[in-house]
Amino acid sequence: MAKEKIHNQIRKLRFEQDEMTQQELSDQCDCTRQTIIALEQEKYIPSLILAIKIAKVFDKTVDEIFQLLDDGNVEEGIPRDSG
Amino acid sequence: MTQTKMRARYGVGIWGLVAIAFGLVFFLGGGAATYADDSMRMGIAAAILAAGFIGYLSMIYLTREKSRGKALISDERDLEIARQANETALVAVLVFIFAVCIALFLGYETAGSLPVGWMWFLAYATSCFGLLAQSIATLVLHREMSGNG
Repeated sequence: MAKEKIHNQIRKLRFEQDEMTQQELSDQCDCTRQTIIALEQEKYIPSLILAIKIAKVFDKTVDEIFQLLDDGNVEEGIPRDSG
Repeated sequence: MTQTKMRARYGVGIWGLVAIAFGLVFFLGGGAATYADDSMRMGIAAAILAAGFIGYLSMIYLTREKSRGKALISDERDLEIARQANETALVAVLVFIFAVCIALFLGYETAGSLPVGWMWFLAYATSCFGLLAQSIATLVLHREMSGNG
């Protein structure tokens, strides 16, 4: 089984949003600053609830922020069975 | 620092001290052979364990979630770390009990019986070891699942 990881754009999006601090983001997502740090360093995979909260803060969809890494490659986000 | 990590640090300190103190009382005063007949050592060991539990429960109370207006001190990552640490501690306790029982069996196999003091050792040591293992596992998982936190 391939080892899967989740890549995310949180750090990039934070800086695009007037350099939002980790504390500001964590306050808006009801999580701790340490969790934001862990997410940015890709050492923690968030729950779906936290992922949706983060997406709402940045006004993006979840898959615009989080991408599944399969064997080191970012998936394109195209449904596999889309025909 | 999050609540889980703070509690784990205190937990390592409290249960580490209790384990050392109990080990000294149990082994330095004559070991298992005389333990059950020595009411002084039994009383000291009970007091040490009681002090450990009182200290631990006090620490849990003092580091409880603060009321509204205070910064959030734990979240879903802490719950996940606590869940994994509990699983790790459970396995560690099972291995510990198995190892102690096998060691006692091998040590006293030829004698056919063993001092009842070892039952006290098993009871006290399992309590300390389980809580110590849970705290250590929490700190290790925090290191693995953290940036600098």
